[in-house]
Amino acid sequence: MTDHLTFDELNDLADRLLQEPRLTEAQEHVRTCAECAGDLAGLRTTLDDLGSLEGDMAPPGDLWAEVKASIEAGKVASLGADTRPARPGWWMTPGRAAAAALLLIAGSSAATALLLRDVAPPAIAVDSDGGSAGVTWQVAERGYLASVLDLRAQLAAQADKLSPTTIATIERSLATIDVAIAEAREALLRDPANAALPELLASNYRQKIDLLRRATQLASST
Amino acid sequence: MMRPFLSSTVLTLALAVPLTLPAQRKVDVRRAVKPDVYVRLNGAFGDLKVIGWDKDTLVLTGTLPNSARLDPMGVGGSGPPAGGMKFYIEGPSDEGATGSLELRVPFGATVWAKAGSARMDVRAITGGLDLNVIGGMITVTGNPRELNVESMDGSVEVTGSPTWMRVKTATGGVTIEGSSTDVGITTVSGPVVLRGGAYERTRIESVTGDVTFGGAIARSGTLTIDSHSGTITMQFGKTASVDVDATTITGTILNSVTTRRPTPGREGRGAELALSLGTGDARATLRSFKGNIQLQR
Repeated sequence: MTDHLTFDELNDLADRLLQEPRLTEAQEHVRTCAECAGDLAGLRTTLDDLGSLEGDMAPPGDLWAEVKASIEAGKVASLGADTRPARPGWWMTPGRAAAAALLLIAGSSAATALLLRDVAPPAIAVDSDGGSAGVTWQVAERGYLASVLDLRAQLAAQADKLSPTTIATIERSLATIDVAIAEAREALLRDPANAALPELLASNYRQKIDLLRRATQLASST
Repeated sequence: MMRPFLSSTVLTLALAVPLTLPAQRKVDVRRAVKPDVYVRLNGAFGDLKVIGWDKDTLVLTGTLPNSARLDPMGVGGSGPPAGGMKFYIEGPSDEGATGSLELRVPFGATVWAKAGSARMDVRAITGGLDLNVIGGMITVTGNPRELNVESMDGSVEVTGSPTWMRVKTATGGVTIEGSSTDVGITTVSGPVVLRGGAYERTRIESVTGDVTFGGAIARSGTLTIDSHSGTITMQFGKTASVDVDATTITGTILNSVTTRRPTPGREGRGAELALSLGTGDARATLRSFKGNIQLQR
């Protein structure tokens, strides 16, 4: 077996869902492939962190102030040097994209909280293109996620004021955006020097925040 | 920006008394107003027509279900022309509302209207418009100074030349026929079509909705289209003068405008294309993650 494990296989391996004979092959591959072993370790760490999340999802006050200022300043990071070796186009398999999306959707709040804690998403280096020196994509993303958390909490508190039809429309659209975020984010992690990806990912995040904001306003005015 | 205030002299009025008619209740409110009156209309109605006219008078007519309650504020029968008026219509359900209203206001009025599921048809307003529905349809015809439209699954159609325009939908489609100095459109999955005259600064963002730009980019203007998976179609006029940068991460680019061929993107996936038409007086940036990009004459 010479090919790397797929994202699905890595997830199944981490979740102990992989069946024989693929299980033995995958375990042997991980023993000899540092890259897949690293990915598997990362997945297991993430799952452990998700499992140990505390009930309180609120972002730290100082972080919220920081990211709010960052958002208001309109900072959008641009990417520079590679920080992770790219495996050509690996994000393109539907299974991986779906798995990533599923992870994001299923853990929308949990993952957001996770990203806001010490366990940050993989860092993506940023250059000073466009005069945004010192601003990292990671910081920008934490800002977006803090906004999402805040708006999600507001919406949840007022959801009973919206009709089921409206809530269904909103949730469908949020799911669509989440899939797009997951796909773009995975691609960005693998190709951080791609100049178009952060713009597309930022666009998706803006869509999510704006939709949540509008839904919250609808609920509060109903 | 459209966040005007109601005049401090606005009167709260005795008309705020619920009327009850057998099945349908007629509405007939008339008031002298300033040419730039600010009007808010909020609540349960199914149809709303807003028409600008050359009289300094506001007239609200139509019918409401007998169970509906209309609370107008600032509608004193006499006195100086009102600078602001507000109507709140309370019904059994915003989304099942059946009331039908027609609002006539001076051309230069600013109108703010919000409903659950409704059809809004606005014509001949040169002031500001701020329209918000969950479902239904919003149609605007004319040249408002500012136009802000928000909808969830309702569609939006604009025919005219708003100076400043923002349209946001979740699943509703957006069709713009005209021109504008400053346009911003965002949609999650609704199709977006812009055509007609010249657009100076335009930014369109979609997640899965297809985007078609068939207008002209004004001299020194900019057009930016970002879509995750929607198809981006750019239709150029014969005299187009624009620099184009097109990038799709995993999709394809079809160039039917010049002989220039797209190059493979990073790591051999997707495609990129930069081309210049005319003297390149304007700039178009087209980006998609997995949608295709089509450049057409």
